[in-house]
Amino acid sequence: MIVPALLFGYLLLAASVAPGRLARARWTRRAPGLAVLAWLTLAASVLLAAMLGFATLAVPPEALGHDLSDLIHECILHLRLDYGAAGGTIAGTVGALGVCAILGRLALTGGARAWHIHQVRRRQRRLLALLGSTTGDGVVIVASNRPAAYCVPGRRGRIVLTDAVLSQLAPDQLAGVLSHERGHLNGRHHLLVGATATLRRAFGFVPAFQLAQEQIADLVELLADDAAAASCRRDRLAAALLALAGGGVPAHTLGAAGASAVSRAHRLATPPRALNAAGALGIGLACATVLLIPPMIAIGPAALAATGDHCRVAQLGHYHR
Amino acid sequence: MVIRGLGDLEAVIMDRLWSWDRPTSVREICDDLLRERQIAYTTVMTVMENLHRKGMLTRERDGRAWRYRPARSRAEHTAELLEEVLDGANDRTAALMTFVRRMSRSELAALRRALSQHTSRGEQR
Repeated sequence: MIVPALLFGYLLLAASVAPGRLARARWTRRAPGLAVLAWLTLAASVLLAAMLGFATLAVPPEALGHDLSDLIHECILHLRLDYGAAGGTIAGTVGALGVCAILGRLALTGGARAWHIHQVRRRQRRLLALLGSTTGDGVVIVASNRPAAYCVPGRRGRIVLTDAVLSQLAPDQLAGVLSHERGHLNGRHHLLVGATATLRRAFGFVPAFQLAQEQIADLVELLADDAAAASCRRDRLAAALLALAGGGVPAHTLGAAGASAVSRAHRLATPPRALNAAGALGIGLACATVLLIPPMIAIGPAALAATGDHCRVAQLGHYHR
Repeated sequence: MVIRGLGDLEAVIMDRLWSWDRPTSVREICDDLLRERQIAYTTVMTVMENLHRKGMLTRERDGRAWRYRPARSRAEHTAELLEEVLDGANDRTAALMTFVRRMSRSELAALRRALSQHTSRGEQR
């Protein structure tokens, strides 16, 4: 029972304690790309820990050797204690159900989400074909006095502007906005946001998934803002942010929109210094560690047993013949 | 005509119908298009029937022919297009990614304040 217990213990830490820490960390705004990696790693680690936790619960003791019990009785005992459960069938059933439930929920939620998103983008492309006119570099202009600048990600990513935007922004700001959207398309940010949104939708009670979705949604905007820096001065892009935020009917319920725009404006106006190489390396290593912990816990005892004194697995092959 | 061309043709026909804003027959559209390009009557008829089937056009009998008009105005379609963009749900799933999200009046004021902080600081230097 040790292995499943360790895995679920780690799951608890990674799913509820770690996300809060990561969300409050200040280095994330200095290296948004690494921060995205960190959140993805955390979410993947949580998912992995849950699945492996249930999977190791379902490992039947019989699977860990039978014919050679004379010689390796002690070895089997040790392995049985580490994996599986004294409860046998009940734990086994729970384990199997757990794995199926997780995979099933993910598949259903992911499928439904993908279908819905596909419909939205298809409708957009159809309407844009009728309403918009395409410029030389593939940008679609739609006639409207409401300012809007967005992209339709997917197979053929398109950037859309209304002509109200053309009249409200200076040429350099326009270039900046287009670079920002191109940054989203080139970086395939819709996949990152979509994946974490699916995780949140599937398992909304997990803090790690809630925070991962929110944080990554904000972080990709920072990444796109950084991509725009080559085409437009940062303070000019910040002014464009204000100019375009004011258009259209104000929303009553979208609480996060204003906060993220304000923090973007601050970050554009006062760019944070980049992370040094040591810091980046440290974060990379931490990510790799977090990802490896669940599988290491899962196979740990088996690996130790293979090299331990009381369990000469190499000899087992000899006696088996 | 290749399939891609049919898509362009839909846009051209809708554009005509929105501009003219009256019940129009296939013949009238076809005659107008023939002034700019080679096109068959049957092609235009097929495209307009497709648009009708998709709900973009309504039609009424006029003798043996149909007269078509747009089901919704260009402005209504544009509003539909932009509403999807400003919809928070699409933003959350990144079905579409907008440069800046729609925000409340107080959030807008906060943004304005944040930017003016920086400009006044810049002027002090």
